[in-house]
Amino acid sequence: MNVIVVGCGRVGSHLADLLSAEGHRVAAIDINLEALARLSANFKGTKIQGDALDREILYQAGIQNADALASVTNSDNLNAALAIIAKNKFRVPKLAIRVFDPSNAEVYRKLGILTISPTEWGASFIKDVLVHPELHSKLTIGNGDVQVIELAVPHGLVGRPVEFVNIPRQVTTVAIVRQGKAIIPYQGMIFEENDFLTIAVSTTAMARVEELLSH
Amino acid sequence: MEMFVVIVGGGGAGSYLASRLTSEGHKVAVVDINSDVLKELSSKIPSISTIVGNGSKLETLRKAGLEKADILAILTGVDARNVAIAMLAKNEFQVPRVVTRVNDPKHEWLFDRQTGIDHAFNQDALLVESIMKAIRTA
Repeated sequence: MNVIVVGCGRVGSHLADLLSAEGHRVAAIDINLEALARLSANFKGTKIQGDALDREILYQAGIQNADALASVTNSDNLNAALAIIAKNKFRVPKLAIRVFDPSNAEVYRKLGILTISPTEWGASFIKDVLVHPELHSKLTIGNGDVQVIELAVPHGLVGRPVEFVNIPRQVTTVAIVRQGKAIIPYQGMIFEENDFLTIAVSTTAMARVEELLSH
Repeated sequence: MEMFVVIVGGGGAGSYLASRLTSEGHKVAVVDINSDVLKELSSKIPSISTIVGNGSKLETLRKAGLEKADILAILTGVDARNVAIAMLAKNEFQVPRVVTRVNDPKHEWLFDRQTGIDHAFNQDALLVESIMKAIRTA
């Protein structure tokens, strides 16, 4: 893929290095020359020092043929502005931005811009570790809005159908490992002793799930 | 026809525009992060409603009553912010007309309908045009 990374701070330089190591063609842009020095010696992409809102700079980065643009500068407004420019003026198919302030994130997401708020994500992750340590999260989706959790079937659930656990919009059973074999559950499937469950839970429903599983 | 105009950025241009519009009988709300600027403005023209806050946040724009605005004038000194605010205005508030200031002439290409902006004014270019005209006619 042709990827443009705008903002070469800690996140941007790491992202650009990872993409370059995977063999993608990367252009890293930063207004400061020193920031570009954060890129590793193995970075094979293009380093561009300049203002990413300057058309010449975006052309130099190859915006006309870009498959993706990630903007992770320390300005939320600049990141949002770049995403909308890449989307509406250059039809860049994949867009990702980092925002510190989550309050506008929904607007950007509605426009199809993958919006990551470390503030939101970090807070919800830390909350879950503190409050629900036994529900060890295997994977978080979005900004931690949905967590995928693995656990041994609690006693109270044995003999009950999967529908007992599944609550629309809150929790769903993704898979059951039974006698060493993983199964996607069917309607009416009954939990058995020694089952191992993988469930997806909305963060907002974590307390309810904890209660449900303590049966 | 009376219009409701929201102005983001109450500096020199914003305050002057607000006073011109109110004197023509329009309803005006001015948003600025700096409360001193707004205090001075409302002491001069009490009929202007003022909103202290970050104009690039939905919450502030909502407080200003942007969903009822006929026109939004975005006059902050940062182009990226102006583009970001225009995006919020068009997508969340469906403002019929969005006008913005362009601060850096290199950024003028960003300000058009594709970024949700109906009219953009490049102050440096306007100034230079006027000076060139004056030089030519001198």
